[in-house]
Parts: sequence; structure tokens; C-alpha cells
Amino acid sequence: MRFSLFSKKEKRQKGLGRWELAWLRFKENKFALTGCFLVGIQCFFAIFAPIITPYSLDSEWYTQGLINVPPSLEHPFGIDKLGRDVFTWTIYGARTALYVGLLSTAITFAIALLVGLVSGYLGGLVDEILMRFTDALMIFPSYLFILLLIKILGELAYGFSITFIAILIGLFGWPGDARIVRGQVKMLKGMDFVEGCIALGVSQTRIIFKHILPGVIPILVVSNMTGIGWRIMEVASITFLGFGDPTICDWGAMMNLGRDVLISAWWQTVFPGFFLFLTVLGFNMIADGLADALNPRLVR
Amino acid sequence: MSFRRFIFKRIMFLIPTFIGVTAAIFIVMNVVGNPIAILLQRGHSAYGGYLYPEQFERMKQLYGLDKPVWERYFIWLFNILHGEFGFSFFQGRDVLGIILDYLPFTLELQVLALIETLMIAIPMGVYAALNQYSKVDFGFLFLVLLGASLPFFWFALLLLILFSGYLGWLPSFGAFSLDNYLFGNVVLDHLWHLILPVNVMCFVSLAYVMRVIRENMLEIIKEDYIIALKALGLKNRVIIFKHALRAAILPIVAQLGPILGSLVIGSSVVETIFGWPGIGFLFVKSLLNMDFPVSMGIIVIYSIIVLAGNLISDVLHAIIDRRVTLE
Repeated sequence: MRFSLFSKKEKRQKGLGRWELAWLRFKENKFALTGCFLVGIQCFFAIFAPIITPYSLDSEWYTQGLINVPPSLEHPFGIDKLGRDVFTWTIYGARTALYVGLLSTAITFAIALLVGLVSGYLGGLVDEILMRFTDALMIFPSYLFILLLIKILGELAYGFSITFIAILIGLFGWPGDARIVRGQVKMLKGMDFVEGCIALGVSQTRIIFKHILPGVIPILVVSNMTGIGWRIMEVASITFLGFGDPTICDWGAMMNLGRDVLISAWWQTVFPGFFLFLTVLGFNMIADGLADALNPRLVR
Repeated sequence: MSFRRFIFKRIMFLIPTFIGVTAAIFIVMNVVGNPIAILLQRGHSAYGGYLYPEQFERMKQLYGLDKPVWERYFIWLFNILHGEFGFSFFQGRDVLGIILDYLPFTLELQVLALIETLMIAIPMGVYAALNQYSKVDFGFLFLVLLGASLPFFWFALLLLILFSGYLGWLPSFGAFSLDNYLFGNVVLDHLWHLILPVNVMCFVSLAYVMRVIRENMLEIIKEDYIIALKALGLKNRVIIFKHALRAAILPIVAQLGPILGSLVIGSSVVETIFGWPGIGFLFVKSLLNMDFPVSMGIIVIYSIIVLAGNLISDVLHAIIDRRVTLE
């Protein structure tokens, strides 16, 4: 299915749009569907967490002072060193992960699209300035800078909210995508059909929204789909270093807690990390499937 | 554009970038949050808790915080350019001296990891590209996907649990044993401590580099000049190793800068996990202790390293492939 441009079924269908064709290819790709399944499960966990989990979030009262208890039937993932049921916390962690991934990616998506479009379409001095800034941000040690910001602003406001971390990750994560968008816009702008539009006197807004944007969005969607997974991981690594709010169910923060008892009570780090892995894997698999579906001629 | 002009242009780009980086750090430290105020609010132990207003003013004067922000920035920048990064709140030592103590360990880790990455990624990527759509290729793609999805800090913890916890083969912490070196030899002991961090560090960028090399190779073996070489009757081995490989590795040289940047993230997390005494570890520790002069110094030093890395990779790229200078 990866090698043919169009399957037999597709050839019979005529007059389908880009996204409809992509969907036809996507749903035949078992690999991508597995990714959908993995992400779907996490969404399910996030929405129905209170129903799935046997204990409430503040389950310290239930475990009656038991700490570091290995996995058993009653506590499938064991109990951590603060007396919390690891299974309950891991399931609730899906909420934080998806929230963080979607929020930060929404920010990068918007900024990358805006900067790339303006820079690629206008060209000239604006392009020069924006791209210099983008290049500078690309080699800026933003990860360390984000840690510094979180610490300082967190100390000032007496809190390290996860929303704040996600927004920072989003604000610093767009340069790569902006470059991709700019390249694509530049390429499309030089193509005959856009020049034809200009010759026919089509308005600028119409050219941008009707002819250039549809050619840009698929690439940006694919790169941001990988981005969701990557950013979930990035935020988890920050909270893992101990910069997050320890009272929030977050996989990174849970793994940070478990580091002290890493070897004697491995279940506190292994299970949250495994869920993180499955989530990132799911988003990457969807991204691969989307890349195949939206651009079948691509050599992969 | 001549070669010299190209280099000049790159340097002209790096200088404003460096000023931007330092300005950003300074603004965050001094406009958003005044380090002294933060320390005093928290009743910092080094200053014995809360102070009277007069003492606070005296403190501000002592650290030069009574001057306007822009003036302080230029004083700070001037000092940095002369290698004076101030004094650590905790260790009471010169910041640059502390950083220079930790820096060699980071460089050692990064360089070894980079070499290992290239040594694994290049042969595997080339082999997979030459056997496109074979079972090996699909296995390779699967590995790349796994490598891109596996959270590296979780992977590090798994290795720790397995190799130093249950098997007890490898040390879990530091760069040297506290007592009893392995076989009584310092060098061997150090290498023994390097195994886990280097492998995890290599893992951080491995998937990305492998994919890039495979994709480059796939494109290059379809180029006309390679087909021409085949038509001339050159041996496959010669074509691949002498002509195609060189062109496939080239983009990696150009991307050494960004790869170095991605290792920044890796180093702070990996060094913290393994207690590796590098500047990533020092950075996290200094932030958690609110030892801000050290944190600021590390970001500046890191920026300089990354900027220099970018410049070197640009120059190398221009030397290998003169077309770059034509743009």
C-alpha cells in the first residue's frame, strides 16, 4: 500500500478532494490506525479517568499509610512513596499529557503558520528580518532559558503551573516549522498557477487562502503531529527535573518522585514512563501515516 | 560570494544573536525577577532570612542594583566579555572557575556520544537505503520510529534499573568511584562510569541522524552522476563509498549545529539522572538552589559553544561544498 500511488479502490472514485483521498489512503494503513488506537486509548483514559480508576486522586486516605507497595491485584501498578495508587495517578496523567501537548502545539502551529506565510509571501526585507530572527531562535538554548523562566516566574508567583510550562514550550518551539512553511509558500508562489491567478487579477487574500494555504497546511499538520508527541515528552522532561507542580498528576513529576527509590520500587517510574512512551509512539505513527497519505510521492 | 565574504556574513549574523541571547537572559533576571528580591523574599539561608529596609538598600548598592537596568546590562556584558561572571551565591567562588571545573566532563560526554552516533547511524542508514523496502529496511524504519518515540530519560532509568540495579554491572552515579577504583585504575574506572551516560546521550539524537542519512542516500543514488558512474562500469563499492557516501554525509555536517543544540536538552536531563558532573547537571542544581549567577553563566557559556559549533559547521560545510557560498 505504500508503493502504489493510488489503490484500485481510489481509481474508481473520481472527483475527490485532497483530504478525502488522503483519508482513503490513511484508513488502509494499518500502521497509522495502530497509532490512532494508541492515542485513542489515551483520550479514553483522559475523559473517563474517574470511572476507570478504582481510587480517587487523593487516595492517601485509602492506602492507610502504606508506601512503596509492589503491584498487586488491588493496586495494579503498586503504591508510590507518598502512599498514592500509581494506577490512578497514571490514568489521570493522560489528561495532563494531552492538554499540554495540544496547548503547546496549537501555539506553535499558529505562530509558525503566520511567520512562514508572511515571510514567504511578502519576501524582501520583512522576510530577511523574520528569517534572521527565526535562525537566531533556532540556535538559542531555549530549553535552558525555559527552565530559568519557570524557576524565576514560579518563585515570584509562588507556583509552577503546567499551563505556563506548556505555553513557554509552545512559544519557543516554532522556528523549524516556520522555515518549512516559508519554503513551501515560496515554492507555491513561484508556480505557474499562482502566476496565472495574479495575471487574471485575483485578489491577494483569495490567492493566499484559496491557493497557497491548502498547499501548506498538510505539511504543517504532519510536522505538528510529531510535534505533539515531542512536546509532551519535553514538558515531561521538565517536570521530571523537578520544575513542575508536584501536586498535579503528571508522568514526569511521578517519575521524578520515583527516582529516589528507583531500584527498590521500580513501578513508580516504569509505568508512567511506559504510558508516556505509548502516547508519543501513537502520535509519531499517526504522523507517519499522514505523511504517506497526504504526499504519496514522497520517498520515505 | 567569495568564501571570505560568506564567513564574514555568518559571523555578522552570530554577533547580534549573541547580544540577543545575553539581553534576553538579563531582562528575565532583572526586569521580570530581581535575584536579590527573590532570595530575600524566600528568607534565603545565605543571608539569614529577612532584612531591614536599610539593609536591603545597602544590599542593592553592594550588587549595583540601584543603577538603571540598561546601564547594568552593559556593565554585565562588559564583565562577561572579560571573563567575569560574578560570584556564586552558594560556593562563594568565581562562577567561571566553577563552570570550567564542570565543562570538560560535558564536552567529553558530548563528543563521545556524537562519535558513537555517527558510527552507528552512518553504516546502518547507508545499508538500509541500499536495500530499500527490504526486511532490513523496514526493521530499520521501525527502530527509527522507536528511537524517536522512546522518552530518553525513561530509557535511561530503565537501563539504570537493569544494569546497575538488578545486574549490578555498571555504576549508577558520578564520573569516578568514591573509593576502590575499578581494577585499581582511574582511567578504567572513568570509562566504566562513562558507558551508561554515553549510550543514553547517543540515543537522544540517534534516530534523527539515522533517518536523515537514509533519506539523503536514497536521493543521491538516484542522481544522474551516480547513474553515469554505473554506466562507466565502476564497481558498486567504489561508487558507494567514494562518491555517494560523501554526498550523503554532507548535510549532517551542515546540521552539526542544530544537533549540538538538541544535545543541550539531553545533557541537562541525562547528566542529572546519572549524576554526571557536567554543566547540565550544574545548571539544574544551581537553578533548584536559586544560585542564579551560576545559571546565567552556564546559559551564556552554552550559547557561546552552540554559536561556535554553528560557525564551525558552516565553515566545514562551505569547505566541502562550495555551492553553499553562492547563495
